[in-house]
Amino acid sequence: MDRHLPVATETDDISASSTMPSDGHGLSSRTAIFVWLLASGTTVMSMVLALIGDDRTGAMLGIVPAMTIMMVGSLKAWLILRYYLGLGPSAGGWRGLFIAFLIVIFAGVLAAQAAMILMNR
Amino acid sequence: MAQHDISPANESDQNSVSVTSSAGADAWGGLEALPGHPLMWVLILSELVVFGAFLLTFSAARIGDAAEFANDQLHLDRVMGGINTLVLLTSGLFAVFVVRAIKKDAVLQCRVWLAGTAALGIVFLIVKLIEYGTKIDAGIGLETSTFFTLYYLITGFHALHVVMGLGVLGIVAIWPNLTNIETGTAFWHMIDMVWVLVFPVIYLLR
Repeated sequence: MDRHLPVATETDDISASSTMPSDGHGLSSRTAIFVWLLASGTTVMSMVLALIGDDRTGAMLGIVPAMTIMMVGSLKAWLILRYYLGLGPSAGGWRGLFIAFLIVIFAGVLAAQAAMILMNR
Repeated sequence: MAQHDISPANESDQNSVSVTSSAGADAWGGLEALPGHPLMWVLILSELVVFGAFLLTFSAARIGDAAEFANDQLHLDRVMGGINTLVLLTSGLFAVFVVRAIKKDAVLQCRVWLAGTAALGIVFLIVKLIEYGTKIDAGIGLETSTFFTLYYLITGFHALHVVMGLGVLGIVAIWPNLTNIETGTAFWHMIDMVWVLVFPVIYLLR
């Protein structure tokens, strides 16, 4: 039976260098575990940073820490989209739509943070 | 668009015939190129729009009362939120192994990974219930403040999706063919992806 699946030989697929067997998304076990390690590592890092800087005063974050937090969150979301959900280049315009979704969230949340910082000056 | 032969586990899969036969090629506007049934991707897209609107609404509401939002956020347990992020990320990895197993026609292995994925989903819900319990014991409810109204609404709606995801995983475990498994795990990854955006916006940004 024929069935459309994303092409496994995508040029930006980091699994291309892997020697592990890959599935239909071009995703090897090694790549999947690497993505999990990266996402989990950044989560632990952001938790530790949040706890270290947690003075329990509720002081507002500056734009750079806020941007860092949102970039880490967006990176994790993109990793899930790209590697776990299989939205590689072969996904065409839909891939762009999902990336646009992430950009809108990222920009919207940061714009709100910037507005609060300006209002509290 | 490239077409690939897939494992024998999918040969009895009738859904993919109607979805991707040459007569119906591109009938889904390219969604048929994505893993699983195209209808699930329509659902995923609509869910992302809803959660995106929630997060933007939360951010807009923060502008109106930044001090109160920051003060209320101090009552949240960031460690619990972080643990739940790790739990969902790990369940997402297990879901990848679910798909790999069915592609090798290893149904038992597939069901074992599905059980692992679902078990972590249950852990997520238990942690979430502990979190809610702590808040309710402290007298913090849905109507305490705008922050907590949105907190309960967004995290509760997400938790409801985890429950639905568990149901979807259970259904595809009963009928484990490639399209069903890819459809079910796509929904699970969407839940995972939404949480990695909810966690920083609600728990970390202040």
